[in-house]
Amino acid sequence: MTMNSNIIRVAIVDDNDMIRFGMSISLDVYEDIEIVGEARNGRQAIELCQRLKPDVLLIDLIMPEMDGVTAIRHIRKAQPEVRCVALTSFDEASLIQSALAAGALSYLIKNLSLEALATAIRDAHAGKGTLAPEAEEALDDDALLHTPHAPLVPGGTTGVG
Amino acid sequence: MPLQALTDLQEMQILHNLSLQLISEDNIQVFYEALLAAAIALTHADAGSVQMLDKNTQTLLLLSTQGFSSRMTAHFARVQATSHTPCGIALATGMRAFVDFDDPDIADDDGSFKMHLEAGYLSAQSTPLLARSGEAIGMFSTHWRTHYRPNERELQSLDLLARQAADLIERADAQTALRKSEEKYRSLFESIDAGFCVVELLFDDQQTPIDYRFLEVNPAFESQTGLHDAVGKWARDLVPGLESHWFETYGNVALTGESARFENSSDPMQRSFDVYAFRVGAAAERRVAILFNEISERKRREAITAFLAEVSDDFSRLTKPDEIMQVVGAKIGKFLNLTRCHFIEVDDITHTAVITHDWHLKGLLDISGSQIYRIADFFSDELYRAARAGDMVVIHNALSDPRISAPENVLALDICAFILVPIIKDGHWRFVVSISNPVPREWRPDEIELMRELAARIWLRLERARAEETARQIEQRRLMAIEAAGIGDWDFNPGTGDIYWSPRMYELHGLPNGIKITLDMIVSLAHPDDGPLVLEAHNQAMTGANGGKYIGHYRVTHPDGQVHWLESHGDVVFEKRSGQRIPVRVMGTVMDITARKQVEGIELDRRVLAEALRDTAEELGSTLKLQDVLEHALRSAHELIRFDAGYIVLSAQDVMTHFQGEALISREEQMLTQWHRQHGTLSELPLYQLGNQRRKVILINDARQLKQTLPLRSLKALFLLPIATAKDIFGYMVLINRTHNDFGETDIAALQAFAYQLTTAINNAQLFVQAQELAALKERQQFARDLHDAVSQTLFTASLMTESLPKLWRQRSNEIPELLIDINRLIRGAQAEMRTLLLELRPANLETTPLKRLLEQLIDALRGRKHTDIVLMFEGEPVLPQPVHMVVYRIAQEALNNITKHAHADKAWVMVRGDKGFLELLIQDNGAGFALDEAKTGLGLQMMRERAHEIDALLNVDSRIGEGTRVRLQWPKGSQG
Repeated sequence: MTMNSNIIRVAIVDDNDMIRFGMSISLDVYEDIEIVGEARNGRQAIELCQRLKPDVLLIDLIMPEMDGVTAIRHIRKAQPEVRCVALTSFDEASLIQSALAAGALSYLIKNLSLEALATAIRDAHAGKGTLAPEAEEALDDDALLHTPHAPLVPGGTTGVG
Repeated sequence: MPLQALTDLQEMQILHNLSLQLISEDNIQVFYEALLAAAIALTHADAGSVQMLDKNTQTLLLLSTQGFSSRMTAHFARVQATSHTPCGIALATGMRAFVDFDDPDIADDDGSFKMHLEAGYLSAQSTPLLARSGEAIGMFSTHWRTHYRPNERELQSLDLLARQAADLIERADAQTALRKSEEKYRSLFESIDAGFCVVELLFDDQQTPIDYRFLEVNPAFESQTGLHDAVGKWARDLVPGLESHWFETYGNVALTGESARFENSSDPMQRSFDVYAFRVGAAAERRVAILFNEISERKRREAITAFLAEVSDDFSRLTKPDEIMQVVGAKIGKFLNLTRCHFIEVDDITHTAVITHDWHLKGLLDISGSQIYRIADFFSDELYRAARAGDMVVIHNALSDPRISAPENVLALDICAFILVPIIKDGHWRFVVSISNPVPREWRPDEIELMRELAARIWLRLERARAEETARQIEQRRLMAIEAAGIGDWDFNPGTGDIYWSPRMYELHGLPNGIKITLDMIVSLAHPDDGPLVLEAHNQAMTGANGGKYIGHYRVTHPDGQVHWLESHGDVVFEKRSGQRIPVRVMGTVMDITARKQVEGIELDRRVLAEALRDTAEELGSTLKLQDVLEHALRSAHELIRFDAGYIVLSAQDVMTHFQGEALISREEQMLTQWHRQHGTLSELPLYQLGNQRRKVILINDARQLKQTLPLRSLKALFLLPIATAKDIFGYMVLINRTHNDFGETDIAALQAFAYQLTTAINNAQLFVQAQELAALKERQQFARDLHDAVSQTLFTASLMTESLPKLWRQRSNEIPELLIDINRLIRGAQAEMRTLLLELRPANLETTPLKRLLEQLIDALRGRKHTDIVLMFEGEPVLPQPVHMVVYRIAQEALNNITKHAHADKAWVMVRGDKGFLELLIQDNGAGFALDEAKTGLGLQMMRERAHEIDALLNVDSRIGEGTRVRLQWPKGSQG
């Protein structure tokens, strides 16, 4: 198990209560990941970042009141140290492009394993972006931006490490 | 009374007392006795009597005696005035007479002297009582037992007494007579029907009569004048506005004493009188007696007769119907003092009426015009029937009369009271003469009678005038038409066979002017196909068929070879002879209709075409289904041209997409379809190339060209209709004819118009299909998205949590049970969402799944998304109609969605109570709530309200910020269950 000496401070933004709860509980098993706050829309996300200044922001894109892309844009200006990781169900090329253009470091689809999620968080903290395979495909079809990234290890079910 | 010597004074006293007595005494008998007593006293007599003359019998009646025995009283009760007794003499001469009863020289005819002597009286005197006129009215006598002669003084006293007595008696008589006559007069005037009164005139300083006062009136006075309690009142007070001529006349009678006999009327009294006025009493009393009869009724009758005569004059003077109505209407109005008189034409088949003429006072509403009124709007059925039967309708007050069906309608025309005389002709109600008043009015019998009289006369006159006018117009028109249209005029006498032709007739037939014409000639002139037909029509008319009228069309050939179509109108005139209708004359006109015939032909075609196109438009427009459009199109085309077979081919990107054949044999259809497919792009085919170039309907009827069009044999003609706009080509319609190629410009034009319709219809159908597909696609996409979103998120979360389990087991195993519960919730939630969404895809299942099940599913899904503690309480077994079931589900779904998305509640309740035909749903949470007045979108409140309204259910949405939201649905509205 690769352990960082630092604890990565993570905030979770999603309008779905259960997802926030689920992710929070699940990520809690990792000793190097600490869930410091939750928000349910973009506005709250901005406030949260101002207040708590997390290391990594896991943020859903489609939310009421203010969507994730807009929030990311704001946060990238206000708190550029915060690494924004988009975590969403959608793989539309346009959405991906918007998120990345707004300053998201990583784009993850909500079907990755817990292990893969943890890895992506650590990578993001280290400044390394992750692009989910589906997203890559979608972009390929669109043939636009490429950011260097580490290919995602196909998520195992019981990642040990 | 004993004889006494009287002094002068005593005598005077006696006379004075007597006078007093006489004056004050009513009873004449007492007076006579007092008179006698005075006479006896004055003459120192021993006895006496008073006798009065009865003029009628010329006898003296003994009225008072003193000192007479009963025998004497009886004897002298009645004495002939002409007797030679001293009384008789005194009476005859008017002078006192003395007599000695024992005078042997005087004859004692009746033995009265002897009687006196026997009674002990020797002498007597009789003093006559003389009236002012000198006439003797009676006497008094005094008797002495001695031969006594009164001295001078006594005689003077006697004379004085006689004078007084006579005066008093005369006066008493006069008074009695007066009283008697007054009684007589009174009884007369009490009983007569005529009015009687006595008035006292009042004059001013110039002797001008100002007024008069009623002093007495007889019982008939009131009914004759209509004045109550007139006695004591002044005429001007009783009758304000009484005309001056009354005062003048009576004043004159009072001043001059000349009686007046006259007839006059008084407007304020609304009566006319026949009067005899005479002065009564002394001139200074200024009293006039008036004897009179009210003659208003008579006067009115006279006025009406005069009026009718006047109207008759108008009738003979005026000729135009309008004039007649106008003038007579005005006269009636003025005569009867009306505000309105009108004439109404009635149509008793449609039960409507039109007010054709309305005379009215200036300033009032004019109710004439072309407005058609329904009679039922004014009259009750009963009244209508009565009018229809010819009964006069007399309404005094439309507001209170139950025979009026709708008083407000009547009042709207400014009418409240009216008389309506219906005129029935030939069993139909045709006409009404009517008068009206805007306020209630008691119509008098004579007014009603007048209207009845008038109405009949007016109608007759009007009919006549109209007939005359129409006849004039007809004649005028005829002449005009003949002149204008170059119409020929002809006249045929069936009896003689003579025919008259106007010069134009000769022209029309191409014959030299003036030659003799016979019926046979005309028939032979006409085209052999036409002549017999016209003759037949003529003969038919002669028997009276079709009212003796006929029209005939025939061709004649002019010398220059030109064929002309002529139209002849004939009108047979009949006369009744010995009970039969004999045709005596046939009049007619002829005109040249060659040009018209041609135009008619074209017109007919055009009309048929227009109608056909309208039908096709309807057909094509009636459906958006492409298949139907194609079928309809081919069927409709038959209405426009005759074709043997045809087809429509639709293309997209130049490739065939649809083929629809009509009347093709299956082999042909197969072949054609294949032929189209073979060629891939349609524009390669020369036929369609041509169509694409021209974009207009093309007719190909040249045999050689036809061969290059379709692989079909024996084509005689082909129509190609490109179904295209300037921009797009949708396809082509092809119609073929195998029998003839006799088509022209009109057919092409018709098909062109049709092609436009078809293009539009097909375009619409295709757009519709696209729209439907798009909608379906969108819907599926939305579902897919929803499915993906909801379920995948939930499962993702569940998988994360499951993945964390092993680590958690090592770290904090006591937390695992709760985590497992949560994982279960998520999975169950996901399942529920899946099921819900699948139900949405198959609505039939939604309808059949019981409500409880559906709600459980929704709640499971909610639990899967939130940590809300949600409870379902379901009571009863609701049996709901389909629409209600669906609406309840949708509303519950929406409410729960809102809780999921917005409420952030930790507790929620879903309570349902229901039965057969009743349901109550309550969904409550303790979450954030929202401000009701800030019309928030995205909460589906609008949808919920509309849905609730659809099923007539009560929906309450209650929410307070920070306290939560409550949604309550109750069906049906107002039930308590």
